[in-house]
Amino acid sequence: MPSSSFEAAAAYLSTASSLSKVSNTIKLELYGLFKYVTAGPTPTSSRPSIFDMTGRAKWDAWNAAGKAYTQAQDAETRYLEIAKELGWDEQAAVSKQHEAPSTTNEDEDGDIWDSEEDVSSQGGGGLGCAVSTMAYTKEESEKTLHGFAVENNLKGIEDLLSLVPDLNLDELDEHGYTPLHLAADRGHLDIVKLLLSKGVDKSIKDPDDMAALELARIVGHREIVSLLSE
Amino acid sequence: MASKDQQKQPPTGIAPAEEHEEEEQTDSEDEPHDPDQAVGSSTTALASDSKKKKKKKSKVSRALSALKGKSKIPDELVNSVLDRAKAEESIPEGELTPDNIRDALEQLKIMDVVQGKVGLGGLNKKDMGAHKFWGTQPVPQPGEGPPIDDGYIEPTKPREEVRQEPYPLHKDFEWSFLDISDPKQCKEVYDLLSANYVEDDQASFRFQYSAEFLQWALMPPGYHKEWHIGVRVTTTKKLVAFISGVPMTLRVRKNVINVTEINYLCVHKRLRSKRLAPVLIKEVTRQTHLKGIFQAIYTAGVIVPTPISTCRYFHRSLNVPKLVDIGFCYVPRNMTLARMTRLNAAPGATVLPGLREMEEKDILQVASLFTRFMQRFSLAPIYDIGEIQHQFLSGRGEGSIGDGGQGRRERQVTWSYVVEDPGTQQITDFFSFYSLPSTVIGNQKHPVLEAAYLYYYATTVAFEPGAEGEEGHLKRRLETLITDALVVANDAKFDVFNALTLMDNVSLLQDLKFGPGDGYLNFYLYNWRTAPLSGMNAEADVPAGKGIGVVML
Repeated sequence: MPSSSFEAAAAYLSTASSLSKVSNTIKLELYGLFKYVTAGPTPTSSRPSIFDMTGRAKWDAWNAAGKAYTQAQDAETRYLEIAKELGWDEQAAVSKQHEAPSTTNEDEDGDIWDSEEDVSSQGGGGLGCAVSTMAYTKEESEKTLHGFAVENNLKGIEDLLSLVPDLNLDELDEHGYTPLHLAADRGHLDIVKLLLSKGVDKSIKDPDDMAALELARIVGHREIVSLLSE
Repeated sequence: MASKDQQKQPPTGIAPAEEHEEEEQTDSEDEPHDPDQAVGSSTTALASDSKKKKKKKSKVSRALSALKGKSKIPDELVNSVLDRAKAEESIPEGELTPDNIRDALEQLKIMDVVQGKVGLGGLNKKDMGAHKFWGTQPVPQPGEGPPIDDGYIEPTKPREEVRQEPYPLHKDFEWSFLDISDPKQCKEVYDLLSANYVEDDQASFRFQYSAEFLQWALMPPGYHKEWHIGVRVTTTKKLVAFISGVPMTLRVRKNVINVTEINYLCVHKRLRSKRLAPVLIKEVTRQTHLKGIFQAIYTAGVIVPTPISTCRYFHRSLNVPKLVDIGFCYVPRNMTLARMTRLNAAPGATVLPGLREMEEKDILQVASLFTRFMQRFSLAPIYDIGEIQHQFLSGRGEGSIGDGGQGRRERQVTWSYVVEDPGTQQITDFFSFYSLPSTVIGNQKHPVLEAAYLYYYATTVAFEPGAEGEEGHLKRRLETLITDALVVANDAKFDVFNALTLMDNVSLLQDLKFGPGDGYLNFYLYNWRTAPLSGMNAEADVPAGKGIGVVML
């Protein structure tokens, strides 16, 4: 019979936001322990087929728990241990239990929670307002010096330089920007560093009559501002 | 409406509607209505000639059905679109190449629509499966066409004929009324929503309604505690689902009806397979019936049967560097973030003489201005004095401005301003907006997006002859008024100012540098028929936006 601490920890874990950051390995271990404690040492059903990957992984985890622990008490202890690591506070939980005494769960399988998959973003029914962001058409990635500066693709620029060692790094693109303008504006520190190390011209003005330093300052990229002010 | 489901209810008592698995199956080729629906119903404007469209579309729809599971857009679909576009002669001949069509379709992410991952404009998703539930509800059903007369679908029932006992839940769960005036219970709703409520399609942002927002939105004058309905886990009492209604007097064209405004339907992320949503809707409907209310208004980002209007979100960037940083918007290749920032900088000060915060003494004048102004829209709330007080003043927060951060009081939810004519001391205009932040999911540097949403506004200029229209002075006055709203919002450190294509907004959005969003909002009435209303698109002789005068929170 699971203890009230166990039930409280299970309730906590089923909703804890910290759990979303936890690896599947831990989640599966928790699942195996949970089933051990609540339903019995090993699964009674046969192992799900290879096509039911989730079901199979869960079955395996439960089965592994059954092999690792000889009594439910040990499995429960391990479960509480993980729960505490994930931020469950037994004291807080106990006092909460006090306020709302839990009724005996007659159904031994209190495993009411879905797995992580197949969670829709609509709040569970779709009614309410909608979250919107600025509509955006993805632009083609340009495999050019300027394109790499925009995309923060350091390796792209390095590769390009090894292919074309005398590449003009101060070249203006069709919109009138140098790679340094673009990298300073978008806040790509490593690209700015690379370009400066190659001795690019910091004083070139963009179509709005701004040098790279001014662009970085307006946008608030402090590190780039100090780099360009040197 | 309940009896039909009840007979079919499984012994567990959970939700009458379909299971997820079924949903997947019915999504298959032999039910072409799904892709059809997604293509045809992004606005209801098409409803009137839906027959004709259906026929035309059958070829497309066959093509769509045939290619589920593949992500490349097949020639058959491209050619079919090509043929139709040629027939309609709406695109210059030279631009009609298969490659162009393919590109356009790819941009529309049409394959995602076909495969049911998303609907047009990011709508729908899998919720198409919810149509089975809506098929049992008194709402206009697909293919009905617009009604001849406005009116109810199901007649009002006397109280004793309303189902008296709550709908059954699985024994793991139990019903619970939430007392929102109790900070502890309000916090429970806040916790549920902030972790589980609506997100954008990329799961980058999730609404974070504050506790004080919920108190403001859920406790207008005459609210009923019985309409704030939760589902708790039987053993732990943890709140895992919620739905709410608040009373509203609504004018729908010529009829004034008492409705409940349904909102904040939320089911815990990991209980979505339990089909709690339909039973929540049925229970709040039952509670509404018990109070003698038989109509409701609600909105959704998704399409279910049957929207009366669809509006699109627009966004005015205020803090451009942050918005770019969190992926809310992007810097186009042909400009700099620095230029974008400069172009979107809000003016430093408001310009309307006599602009000041609304106060208690303004309530009567604001009420009469509001009432007169809102008559210009087909669908609008009717507020009495108490409701005006609540909507525009009760959310103003505590302490003085600055206590809750720059430009804000503590716990401030709404900002309401009036323009008092310095000569006559009459209130000539007012505007309001509210704070609805979103969590920026997984972002340590910027955990919260501070968003202001345009709420109600009005101006006496609308009543002057010749004010309406593209060149009329109403448009110019509202531009000035809402620009002042942007200034106030910017001073209060909002990152973005959002508005929908409703009321007079459409005429203002472009000039005030709002950009189109990827989100849409569909408006619905429960148990009431009316013809489509102008939202994102114009309907009949009503210009875009002016069908809708209701802002849902």
